[in-house]
Amino acid sequence: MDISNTLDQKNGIKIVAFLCNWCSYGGADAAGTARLKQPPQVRIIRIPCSGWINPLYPLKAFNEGADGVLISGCHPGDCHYAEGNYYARRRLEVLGHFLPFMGIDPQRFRYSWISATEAQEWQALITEFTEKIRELGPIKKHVEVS
Amino acid sequence: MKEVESRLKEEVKKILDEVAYVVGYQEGLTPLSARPLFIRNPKEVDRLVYNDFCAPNLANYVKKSDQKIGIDQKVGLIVKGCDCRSVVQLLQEGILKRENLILIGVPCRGMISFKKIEKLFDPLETYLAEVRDKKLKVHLAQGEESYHLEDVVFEKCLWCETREPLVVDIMIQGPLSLELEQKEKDFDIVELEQKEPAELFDFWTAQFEKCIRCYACRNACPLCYCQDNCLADTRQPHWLGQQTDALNNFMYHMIRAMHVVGRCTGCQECERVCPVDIPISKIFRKTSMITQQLFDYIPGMKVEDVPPLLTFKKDEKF
Amino acid sequence: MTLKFLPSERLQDLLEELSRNRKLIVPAKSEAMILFQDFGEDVHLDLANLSRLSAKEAAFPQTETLLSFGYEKETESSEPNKVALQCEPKEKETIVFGLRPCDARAHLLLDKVYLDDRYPDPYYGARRGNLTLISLTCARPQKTCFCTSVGGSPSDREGSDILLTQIEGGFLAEGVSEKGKNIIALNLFQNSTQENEEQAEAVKKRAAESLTLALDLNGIEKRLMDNFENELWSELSAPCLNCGICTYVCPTCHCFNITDEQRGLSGQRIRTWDSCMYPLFTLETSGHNPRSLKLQRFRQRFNHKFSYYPSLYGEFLCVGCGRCILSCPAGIDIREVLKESPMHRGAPRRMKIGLFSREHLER
Repeated sequence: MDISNTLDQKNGIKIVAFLCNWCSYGGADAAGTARLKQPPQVRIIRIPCSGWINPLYPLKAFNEGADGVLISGCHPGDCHYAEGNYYARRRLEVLGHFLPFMGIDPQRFRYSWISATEAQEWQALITEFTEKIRELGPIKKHVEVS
Repeated sequence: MKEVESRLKEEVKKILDEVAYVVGYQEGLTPLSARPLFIRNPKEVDRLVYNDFCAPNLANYVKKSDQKIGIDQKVGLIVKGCDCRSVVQLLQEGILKRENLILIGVPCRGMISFKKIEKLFDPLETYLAEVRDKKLKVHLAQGEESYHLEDVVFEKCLWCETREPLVVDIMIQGPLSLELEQKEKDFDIVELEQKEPAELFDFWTAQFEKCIRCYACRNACPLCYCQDNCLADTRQPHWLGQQTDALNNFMYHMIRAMHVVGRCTGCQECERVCPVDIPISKIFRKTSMITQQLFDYIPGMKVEDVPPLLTFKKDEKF
Repeated sequence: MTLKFLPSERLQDLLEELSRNRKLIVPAKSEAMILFQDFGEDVHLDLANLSRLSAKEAAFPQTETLLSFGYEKETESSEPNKVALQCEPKEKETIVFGLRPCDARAHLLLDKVYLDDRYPDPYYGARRGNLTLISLTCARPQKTCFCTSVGGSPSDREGSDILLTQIEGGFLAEGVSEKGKNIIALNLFQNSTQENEEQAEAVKKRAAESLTLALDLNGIEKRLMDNFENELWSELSAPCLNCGICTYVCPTCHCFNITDEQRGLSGQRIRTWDSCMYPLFTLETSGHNPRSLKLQRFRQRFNHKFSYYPSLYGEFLCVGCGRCILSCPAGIDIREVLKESPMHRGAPRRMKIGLFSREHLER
């Protein structure tokens, strides 16, 4: 695998992706099994459900120096726990509107719905998101995080 | 306002037998400040005052008590229109029981902000202060001065939509408006939002660098009732460090922000109590602006409302 | 004592001279408040008004690194198994200029705790040893000032290295300590005249006379203990929000917390201000909290300042700066608490539970 162009030394970025266990994590896993190329700057954190996401998690990730945060769950209507992602949708939408006010570019934050079979959609999404973050460059930090 | 005050005293005397105590206002350090008063007997009613300087939101003093003592103790509370929204929000969340509260509504024509007058003159050197003819008149050592009310009232008073309390048992009638020049709601936030995210980042970093994490904003917030169990105090998980730098202070304020989304009634108590003048209510009012925009919901208006983040619609699109 | 005169027009030169190779902290205006800030070009010096926070941060910063640590991995092991520590209290020479005599005196009260013969604190000691305090006579005490009631005065020299008094055309400088005398030996200072000294005396006298309030604190130590369970505490503490403002703005409050703040494999052990107003201050590992009630925490502040500390060190832990009165969002006035009649006359009454029931006072 060619890693020279993905390990962007000069413009190193970190992306945190919170993926729900039942759909999006499966999707990312399927993409891996299918040997679809995925950007290495992404750190995936598996979570039980997108409804489990406390808006403070993405905020903490930014606070700790993440340059982009992506949250993905089951499609609305397909939640493993019936309605977790409905709640998540509202919370994350509010957070998306709130971030720019605190000085965080809203393009650095995204939420989406990816099912376990949508390996290609996952690949397309994460590649495009990573490219976007790469364009934006490293996030402004309160202090240098080592 | 003197008339309102004397009628208020009468009403408080009438309900004293029914309640454990009534929370009201008494004279503060300067003629431009008032502070909370707990009234338990008719003698203490004499200390009660009500004027244009009674800024503190007294709903804060009932925010937790009711769960424990409300069962056998009923309390009286003096509420202005905006304070009453905090009470409504607490009722909605089941923190207060309506039957354990006697709400005495008082008319409000805009409250004078101590922080704003501090920038204009020294309140400690003021002998007398009153609101007359749409002006704040103060007697200072060098003579009488007057200031436009628009410059000295809280921002929230410039777009007040609830001059009259929404839920009351007893209402003291009085002047509700000084016909202040009304401004668009949260105009200060709209102004701030004109900045680019990078500029805003620097703005907030500078503000958070001032923060000394005294937690006054949290403790003064009528809706922050976790108190001793606040997330900001936990070590495990380690949400934030004890260092008082912009990085950790940012996280502290975010914890508060994420907990008042869709609940903040914009009483500006957090900002009033801040010892280092951080315009902190802007953060929390912004969250309410968002929920109003997205879900057409205004916190603290109806007891039977459901907070927007505790519900959903299946087919909503953003 | 050496007396010198500093003309107003040489003040800027003096500040620049003092800031050379040293850290110079001055009271400066930022927005509507005065804070102690590092001296620099865009700092708006304000000597006339009381600063919002005290000057104690120079000797006792809100956040202080005690040591740095890093976990290291030895080659054979898969887990980090070695800890490298780094600990070197090194402090630059620091001068605080333009603080009030009450703030300067507060340092002596902190010294008693931190520079105790048996357990001197090396971190505080390093800072304190490098600290020079140049205070300014408080010409116009505020309505909230009560330094004369707690053993100070607007022109108190105690704790200062130099005491300046603003007079016509400049400042009269009194060199109190050796450090101070060395500074006023600089060429910027002129010899003072009889007139200078007379003017300064007049300023001091006027300031002292303007402080009319005299709290009777005779025997307060015992009175507070006698009234430990007085029901008055529940009444007095009712409006308190239990925030930390009063203790953080106080020049004499000195309680701290020590925590390890780690990120990845490295971190710092830090010391940060703590406050007796917080429930976590006394929470024990078992879950028991000896001061779980708001009332208890409120009472602690006064008892510590006016009973426990005096019984250990023979002085009140208060210099009467009045900052806690000014900043308290609930309008609690330390003078009122000390003046309250039962506390004053000492008529012990048992605390009645249920007046405000105990639970109500709990937060």
